[in-house]
Amino acid sequence: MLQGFVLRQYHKVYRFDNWMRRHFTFTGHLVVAFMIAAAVFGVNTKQSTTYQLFVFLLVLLIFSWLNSRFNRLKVTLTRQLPRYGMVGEPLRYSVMLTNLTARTYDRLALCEQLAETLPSYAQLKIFYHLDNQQWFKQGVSFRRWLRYLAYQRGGVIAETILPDLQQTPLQVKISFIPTRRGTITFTDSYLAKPDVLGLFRRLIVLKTHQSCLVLPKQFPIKPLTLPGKRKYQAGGVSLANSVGNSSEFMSLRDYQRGDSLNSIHWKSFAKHGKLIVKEYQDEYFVRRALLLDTFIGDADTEQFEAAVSVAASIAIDERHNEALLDLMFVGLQTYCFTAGRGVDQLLHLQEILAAVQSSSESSFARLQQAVLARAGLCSSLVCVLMHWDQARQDFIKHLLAHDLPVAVFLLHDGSLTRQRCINKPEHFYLLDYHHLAEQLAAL
Amino acid sequence: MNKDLLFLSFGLLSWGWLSQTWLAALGLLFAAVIGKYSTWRWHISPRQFYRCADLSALLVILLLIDVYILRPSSQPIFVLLKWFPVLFSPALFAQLFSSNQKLPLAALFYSLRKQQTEQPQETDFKLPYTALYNRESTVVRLLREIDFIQPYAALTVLSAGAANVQTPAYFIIAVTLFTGILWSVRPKHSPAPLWLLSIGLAVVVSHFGYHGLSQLNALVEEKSVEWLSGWQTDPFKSQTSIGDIGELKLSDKIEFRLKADNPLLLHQASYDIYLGHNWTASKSVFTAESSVLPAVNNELKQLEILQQFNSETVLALPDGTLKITGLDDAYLQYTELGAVKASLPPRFARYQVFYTGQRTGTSGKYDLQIPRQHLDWLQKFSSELKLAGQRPEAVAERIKTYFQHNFFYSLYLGAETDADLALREFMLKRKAGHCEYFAAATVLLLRQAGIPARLANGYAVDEYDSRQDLYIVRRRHAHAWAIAYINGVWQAVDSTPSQWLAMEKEHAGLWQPITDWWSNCMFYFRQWQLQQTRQQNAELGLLAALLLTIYLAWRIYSAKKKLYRNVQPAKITELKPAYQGLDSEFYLIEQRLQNTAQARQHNESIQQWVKRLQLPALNRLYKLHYQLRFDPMGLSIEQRRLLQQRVREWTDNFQNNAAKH
Repeated sequence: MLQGFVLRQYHKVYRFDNWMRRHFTFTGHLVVAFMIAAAVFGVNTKQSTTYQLFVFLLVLLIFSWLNSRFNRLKVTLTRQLPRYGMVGEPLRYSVMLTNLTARTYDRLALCEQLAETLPSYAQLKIFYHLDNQQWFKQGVSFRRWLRYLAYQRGGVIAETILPDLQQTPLQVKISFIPTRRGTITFTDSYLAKPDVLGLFRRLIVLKTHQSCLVLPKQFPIKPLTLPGKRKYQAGGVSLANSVGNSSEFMSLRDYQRGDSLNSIHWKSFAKHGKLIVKEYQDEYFVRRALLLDTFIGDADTEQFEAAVSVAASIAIDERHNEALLDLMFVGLQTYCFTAGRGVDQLLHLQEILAAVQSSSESSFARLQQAVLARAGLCSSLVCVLMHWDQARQDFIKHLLAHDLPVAVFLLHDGSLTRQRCINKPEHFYLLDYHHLAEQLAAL
Repeated sequence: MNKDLLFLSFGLLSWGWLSQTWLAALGLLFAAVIGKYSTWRWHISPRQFYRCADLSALLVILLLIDVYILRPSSQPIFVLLKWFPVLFSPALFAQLFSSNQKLPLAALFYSLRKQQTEQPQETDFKLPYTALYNRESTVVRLLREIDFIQPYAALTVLSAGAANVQTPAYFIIAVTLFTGILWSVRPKHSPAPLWLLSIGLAVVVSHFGYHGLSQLNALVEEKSVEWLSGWQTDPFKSQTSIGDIGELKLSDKIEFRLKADNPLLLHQASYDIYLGHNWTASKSVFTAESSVLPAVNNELKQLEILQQFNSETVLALPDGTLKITGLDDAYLQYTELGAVKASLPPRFARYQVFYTGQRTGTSGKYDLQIPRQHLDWLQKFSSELKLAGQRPEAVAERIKTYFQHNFFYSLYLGAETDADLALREFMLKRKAGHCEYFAAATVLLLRQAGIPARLANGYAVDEYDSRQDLYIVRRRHAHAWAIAYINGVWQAVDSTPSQWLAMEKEHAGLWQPITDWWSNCMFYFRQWQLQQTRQQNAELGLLAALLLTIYLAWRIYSAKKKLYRNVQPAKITELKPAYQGLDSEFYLIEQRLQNTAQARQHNESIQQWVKRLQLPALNRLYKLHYQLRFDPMGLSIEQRRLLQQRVREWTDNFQNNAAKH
C-alpha cells in the first residue's frame, strides 16, 4: 500500500516535470527560475527590493499564460513510419505538417509521444528482481521508476525545433533509437506554439495514433557448420515448393483413408468413378531447429534480451542456407514456427522474436518434450540456453544419444568459464552478454 | 553595439550603482568587453567548463564561511546575493573566451553532469534499457549548451535587489532589462503592438502589485511577530503562555555561558501592567542614562558572560548591575524598569558585569494595581494566608512557602484558552502550572497585601559545566518571577516550586548532546578567534588562501592527469570495432617503398607482396599486421609494441641504407 502511494507520488512528480518542460520556452524557464529566486530573497520586503522583480515576472507569466489561451493556428500532421525498426539502431521517419491558416509561425516545436502505461509495483518487482534484494533495497527509487517507464515506452524522442511554418507543407525528418523490441505505439503529438511574449507555450494536440514493430538487435555471426544429413519430410514438396527438390510425379494409386484431398486426381475420378490419388517422390532436405530457452529463472532481463538477440542473429543467418528452420520456445504454450524454402519468410521469425516473452515457469520439461517429438525430422539443432543446470545437460545428452548434431549457445553474466561447465557437447559457445558483439564475431 | 554587450553593461552598471560596487562592476564589464571584442579564444572542454562552475561554487562556500563564521554579518544571505555577479563571473568568462561561445548546461547543474558520465562509451550491446535510456535521455536535453550572457545580465539585476534601495529606480531597471531581453527573443508571429500592450499592462499591474505586496508584508510581519515572540524578550510587552493550551516546550539551545560563583537569577525586563495574556511596561522608553544609583556601601560582585550578539540584544543581568566592561563598541540603552539593550555589530563577546545584588529604584502607580476580575480569589487567599497586618518580608515568605507546599510545577498548559480564567483555574482548581502562573499569581497576591510588585523575566542560572568551569544558560532556562518592593529595594520572590529545573531537564531533546557538541565547537572557535589580534587574523587568512591555491592547483593537475588517462584507451576502443587496424605501423613500410621497384602493386595482397620481395624481416611483421587487421581479438599490448618497434627498426635501417647509396 505504501509502495502504491509512493508510485502515485512519482507519477505526480513526473507529470509536473513534463508539464513544466513542455509548457515553458527556455526564456520562460529562466523567468520562472528568476521569479522563484526573487521571491526567496524578497520574502521580507524591508530587507531587499527583489520582491518588485518577483511581482513583475509573475505578472509577465500570468499575461503569457492568458495569451496562450487564444490560438488561431490549425495544423494537420501525417506520419510515415517504416515497417520495422531495430533495437539500438536509429529509426528514421518523416512527418508532414500542413498549416491551415494564412499566417507564418516561427519557434514552433514538435513533441512526439510514445504510449506509456504506468508500472505496478508487482511489475517493477519482477523487472528489478526486488525479491532477491535486502529489505532496505526493495523500494523502487524514482530513477528506477523512470527507467522502467522509458524502457516500456520503447525510446526517447527529442523535441524537434521546426523551421518557420508557412503555408506550404513542411516535411520534418525525425529519428530516435528504440530501446526495446516489440510494438512501439505513437500516441498524440503536440505542436508547441509560444505565446506573444515568448514565455509560455500552447500545446496543440495532433491525434495520429500509429505503431511500428521493433525487431531484436542482430549481430553478424559466423555461419555454423553442423554436420547432419537430409531427412525425409512427410509434407513432401508442398512444404518446400519453391526451391531445391522440385515435385517429382511418380504414379497414381487408389485412395486410401487418410490421404489428403489435395492429392486426389480429379480427371481419373471422372474417368473411373472412384477416387484415385497422385503419388510423388519422397522429399529429403535439411531442416534445422532453433530452440530458445525462455525460462529466465534468476537471470537478468538483459541476459534474456541477449538470448533473443542471439536467436535472431542465428535465424537471420539461415537465409543463406536452403533449409527449413523451426523456431521453438515456450510462452503461454509451446510454440513452433517454421520458415525457409518458401514456407514462410525468415523475417516473419524476426517478428515473432520481437514479441517473445520470458516464461516464469521453471520446468524445462515442456520444451524438452516438444523438441524430442520433432527430433526425427530435424537434421541439426541449435539451442540458445539461459542456464546450464542438470536438466539442460541431460536434455543435450539425450539429443546427442539420438545422433543429432547439437550446438549450444549459453548466455551468462560473466560468472561462468568453459572449465566450470561440465558435459559440454562438441559445439558449445559460452557468451557473456556484456560483450556479445565481440564474442559472436569471434566465434 | 552588440545586444548581448548592451544587456551586460546595463546590468553591471545598474548593479554597481545600486550596490555601490563600482570597482567590481567596472572590472567585470572591462573583462566582458575584452572577451567580446578581442580575438583571443581558447578551446575549452566540458570538463574545464565544469571546473569554472566549481570555482563559482567554491567562492560561494568561502563567502558563506566568511559571513557566517569568520565575520558574522547581520544579513549573510543578502551579502551572498549582493556578490552574485562576481561569484558567477568564472562561468561567464569561460563562455566569453571559449571558441564555441556557449556554456554547457551541465556546468550549472551537477545532476546533468552525472547523466553525461553515465553515457556508454562503447557502442556494443550492453544493458538495453539502462545504457540506451541514459544516452537517449541526454540527447533529449535540447539545451545542453546555453548562452549564459542574458541569464547573467538578469542575475546582476536580481543581485542589485540586495542593495535595498527603496526607490522606483530598482523597478525601472528590472523592467527595462527584462523587457529588452524579451524583445530580443520575441517570436516573429507575435505582432509588435500586442507585445508592447502586454508589456505595458504588465508594468502597470506589477507597479501597483509590488506596492500592495509591500503593505501586505508589513501586515503579516506585524501579526507574525505577535505569534512568534513567545520566548523573545520584548522590554515593552511580555506575552505569557497563560491561557495557551497544550504543553510548554522550549528549546535546548545554549543562549550564553557565564562564569559566576553561585547560581542566580539574571533579569532581562520587568512589567508592571497586567493585561491578562500580556504584561506590559508602563515606562518603556530607552535612554542612554542608567536609572540605577551606585550603592556606595556594598561591595561589588563580579561575573563574566560569554555570548553571541545579534545587532540588538536585551542583556540578561543580575540585580543591581552598575558597570559593564568588555562591550566598548556597544551602545547601551536603559529603561526605567531596568531593561538594558546593547546595540553592536553581530559578534561574539566576553564581557564582565559588576553588580551589588540589590535592585534599587522607586515604585510607580501601576505597581499596586489589581485587576477587578481577580479580586474575589485574591481576597480569599489573602485571608486564608492571613497576610493582613504582616510585615512585607513575612508576607513574601508566606506566599512563597504556600506555593511551594501546595502547588506543583507542570509543563502542561491546561485546556483553558482565556488567560483570566486560566489563572483563576490555576489558583482554585488545578494548582499546577509553569513559572508564569506562579509569578503572575504572586505579583497579584503581593499587591493585594499592599506591597508594590512587578513581574520579571530572565534566566535562572543553574546548569554548571565542570569541564568548562562555566554555567550554561539554555533557552529552556528562561524564567519568570515576581519582584516586590520591600525596604526600598526590589527583591525577587520566586515562588515556583524548585523542582522546575529538574523537570525541564527531563524533557530535554534527544539531540541535545549533538547540538551541545556543535555549540561547544563554535564556542571554542569564537573564544580562540577573540584572542587573535587583527594581524594574526590577516596572516591566517593569507595562509588559508595559500592552502586553497595549492589545493586548486593540485586539483587541476590531477584532473588533467585523469583526463589523459581516460582519453587514451577510449580512442583505441573507438577505432577498434569500425576500422580495426587501419592505424597499423606496417603501412609505414608500404609508404617507404612507394615509387621504388619494390612498391606493392594494386592487385597484390600484402602476403603475395612480401613473398615477392623475399625479405625475411617482413615475414613476421606482415603476420602481426594481418592479426591486427583481421583478428577480432586484435593484438595484445606486447605484440603491438613489438610491431611498432620492429617497423621503426626496419624503416631506420632502410633510411640509412638509402643514405649510403
